[in-house]
Amino acid sequence: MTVRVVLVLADDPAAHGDGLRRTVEAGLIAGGHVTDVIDLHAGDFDPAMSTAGRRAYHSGQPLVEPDVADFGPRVRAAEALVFVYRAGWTGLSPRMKGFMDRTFVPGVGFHLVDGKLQRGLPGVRRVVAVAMHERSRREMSRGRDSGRRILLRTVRLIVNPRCRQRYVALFEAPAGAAAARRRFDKRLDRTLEWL
Amino acid sequence: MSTLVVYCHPVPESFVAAMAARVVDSLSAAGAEPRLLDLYTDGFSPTGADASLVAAHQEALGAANGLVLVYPTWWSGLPAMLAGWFEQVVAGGSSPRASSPDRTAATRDLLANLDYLAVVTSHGSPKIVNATQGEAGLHFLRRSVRPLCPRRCRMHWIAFYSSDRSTVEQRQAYLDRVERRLRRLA
Repeated sequence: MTVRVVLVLADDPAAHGDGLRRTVEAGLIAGGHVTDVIDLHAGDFDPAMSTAGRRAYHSGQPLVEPDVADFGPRVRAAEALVFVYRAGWTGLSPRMKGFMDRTFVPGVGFHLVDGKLQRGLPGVRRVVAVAMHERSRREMSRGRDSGRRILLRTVRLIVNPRCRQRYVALFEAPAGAAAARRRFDKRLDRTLEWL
Repeated sequence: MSTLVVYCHPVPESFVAAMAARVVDSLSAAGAEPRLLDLYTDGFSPTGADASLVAAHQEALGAANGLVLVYPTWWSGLPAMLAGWFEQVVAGGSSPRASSPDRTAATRDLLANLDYLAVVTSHGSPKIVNATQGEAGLHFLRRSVRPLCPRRCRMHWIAFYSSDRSTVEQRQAYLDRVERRLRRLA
């Protein structure tokens, strides 16, 4: 089954090491999916919410800036979201978090009706987060992996209620053990097939 | 006693700005010598801040007895700007090649003078929604940052929930609560 996938690549492709980006793209093409790539590193994307952007937040036309203007229709057309990021501490990378802050705004990610949250992306039925952590697995679990919480638990509230999710993580990147890397690649392949 | 107040919000007329103003006033009144870092007016960049700016922020943090964070909780976590501040200023530099124990040690040194860490943050949605979302910001600060502070350092979570549906009275009451809590701390 062909799925319309929006692939969000948050960080420097060189830092992803050994072509993680290519692996993911190749996996999606092999599955015959229609893939729309949002590369936050290549363009002039600014992760920090701007003054104008925040002022327009509740205006009904929130995506006022050129670097995020077309993200709204693109994520709304998605049936699956794939996030790829690299984190230096136990949270999300600033670019990944900036994408959430600036794209999933009222009218795109959700609707506020009388102050209540309503789902904005009911078409999304699959969410995959692919994380390369510089910290160890132990540190991540002690820190409660707040990136995972945001991408899975928080996003769950705005996508289709029956949406299914996967989290694929590599720890101690890029130095990590070769065996861990192989397990990660395998799991990534399986996850992309599952899509 | 000196206290570092890190404020992160793009709009000067926002409620979070009012929170920051009240934090600074309360600390001054209590004689805690607040120093305000406004990440937006300082021109901080979440992905590649100026090295001299990062060094200046690190120096201010190293000299402080108290750290107060004032920010809006977006998507259950810190805004990208503040996440970038933590990665570059607090996490011992963002040089990706440094090993994780080295960076942890650098962070411990930086936070060694802290007697308390206070978090003053607003949430658009009610507490129950944030609990479902996993309170990523709270967990990051409590589980990743707080353990690197000295043993005596306590973390104070002073949060405002349901701001999307709040009334003027509720916001006023929250500002008063912030003032009471900070006066007791400082």
